[in-house]
Amino acid sequence: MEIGQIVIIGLISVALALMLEKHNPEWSMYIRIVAGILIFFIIIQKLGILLEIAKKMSEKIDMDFVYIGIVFKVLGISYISEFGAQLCKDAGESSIASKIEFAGKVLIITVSSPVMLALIDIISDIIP
Amino acid sequence: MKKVKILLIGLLWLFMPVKAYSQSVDEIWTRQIESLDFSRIDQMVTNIKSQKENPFLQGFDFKDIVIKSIKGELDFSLGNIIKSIIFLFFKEMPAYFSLIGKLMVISMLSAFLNSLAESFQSKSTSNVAFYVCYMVLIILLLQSFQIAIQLSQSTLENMVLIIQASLPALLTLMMASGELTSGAVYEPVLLFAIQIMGVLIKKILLPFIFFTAILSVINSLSDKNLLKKMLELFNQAIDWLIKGIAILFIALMSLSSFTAPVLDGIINRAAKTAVGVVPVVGETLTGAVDIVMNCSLLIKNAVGVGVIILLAVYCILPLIKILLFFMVYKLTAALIEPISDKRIVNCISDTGEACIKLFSLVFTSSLIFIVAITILIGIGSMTLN
Repeated sequence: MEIGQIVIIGLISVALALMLEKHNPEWSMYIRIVAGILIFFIIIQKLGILLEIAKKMSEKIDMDFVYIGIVFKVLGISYISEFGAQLCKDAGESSIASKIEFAGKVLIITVSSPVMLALIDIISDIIP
Repeated sequence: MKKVKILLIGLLWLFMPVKAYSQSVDEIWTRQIESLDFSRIDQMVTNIKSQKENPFLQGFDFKDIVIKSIKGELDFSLGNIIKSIIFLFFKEMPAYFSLIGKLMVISMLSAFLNSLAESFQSKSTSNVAFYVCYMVLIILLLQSFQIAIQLSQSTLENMVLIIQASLPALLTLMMASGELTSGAVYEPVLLFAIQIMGVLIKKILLPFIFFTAILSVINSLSDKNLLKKMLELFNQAIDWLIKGIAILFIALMSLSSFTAPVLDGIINRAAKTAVGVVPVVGETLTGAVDIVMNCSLLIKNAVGVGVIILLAVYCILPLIKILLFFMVYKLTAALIEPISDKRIVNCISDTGEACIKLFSLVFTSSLIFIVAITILIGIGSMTLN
C-alpha cells in the first residue's frame, strides 16, 4: 500500500515541520523538501509500470513506438521539472524555480524535435 | 394430264426451301461487335485491376458486359447491389480500427497529461508538453488524410482515363448509327471538358481541400478560433467550386445536345428517302439501312451502359474508403470528447469535415461522368424515329 506510506510520510513530516517551525525554521524547511523528494521517488517507480502499459498498448495497435516514447519522455520531463520548480518555490526560491521551468521547456523542445521535423516533412510532402 | 403435271411441279417448286439472303438481327450486331476495338478499354481495365484489389473488378470483362446488356441478361437487383456494398464496407472496416486506436491513445495521453498538470500551480511546462502531444496527433491525422487525398486523386485520374479510353469506341458507334454531326460535335467538346475538369480538380480543388484541412488543424491549436471566418470562406469556396464544375460540365454537354441530333435526323431521313427512290429494291434497302443503324444504336447504348457500369464499379471502393475515413474521424472525436481537450476533439472533427469534402468531390465527378455517358446514350434514341 504505497498510498498508506505516502500519507504517513506526509503526515509525519508535517508534524515534524510544525514542531520545529518555532525554534529553527530552516530545519522545518529541510524536512519539507526531504518529504517531497521521498514521495517523488516512491511514485517514480510506478511511472515505469505505466510506461510498460503504454508499450504494450502501442504494440497492440501496431503504432510506431518512437512517437509514444517521445510523448512519454516529454510527460516525464514536464512532471519532474514542475515538481522541482514547485519544491524550489516552497523553499522560497522562485528565481531558481523559474530557471528549472525554463530548462524543462528547452529539454522538451529538444526531445520532441523529431516530431516537429516529421510534421514539417509531411506538410511539405503534401503541399505541392 | 400434262397441265396437271406442270401445275404439280410448279406447286412443288413453290414449296421447295429457298435460300433467303437476309441476316438475322443477332448476326448483324454480333458482327458489328466483333469489328469494334475494345483494346483500349480492356487495357484500362487490366491496368486498374493491377493497381489494387477491387473484388468487383476482378471478374470484369467489358465485352461480356456489353453483350449481356444487349441480350438483356444483366441482373440489376437493388438488393444485390446493396448487399455487395455492405459486404465491401465491412470488409474494409477492420483496417481502420488501428487508426481509431492510435488517435484515441494519443488523445488519452494528452488528457492524462492535462489532469496531472492540474495538480501543479504553474502550467507553463505542461503546456509545452501538450503541444508535443498535439503535434504527434496531427502527424497521425495528416498521414491518414494524405492516404485519403492520394486515393481520391488516383480515382479521379483513373475515371478520366476510363472516359478517354471509351470515348473513341462510343463515338465511332454514334457515327455508325447515323449521328455524324453529334459525333463530330461531341468529340472535341467532351474531350475538352473532361481535360479541363481533370486539371481543375487536380491542380486547384485537391490542394485547396488539403490547405483548408491544415488551416483548420492550426486553427484548433488555440482556443480562440482565430481563423474561423477564413475557414468558413474557404469551405464555401470549395462547395461552390465543386458545384460550378458540375454545372459547367453538364451545361456544355446539354447545350450541344440540342441542335446536333436534329441535324442528324434530317440527314438520316434524306439518306433513307434517297435509297427509297431506287426502283423495286428501294423499299427493302430502306429497311436494311434502318436495321443496321438500329443495331449500331443498340450496341452503342450497350457500350455506354458498359462504361457506366465500369465507372460505377470502379469508384465504389474508393468512395467507401473515403467515407470510412470520415466515419473514423467523427467516431474518434465523439469517443474522446468526454475525456480529452476541446482543441484535440475539434482538430479530429475538422479533419472529418475535410474528408467529407473529398467524398463529395469524388462522388460529384463520378456522377458527372455517368451523366455525360447517359446524355451520349440518349442522343441516339432521339435521332432515330
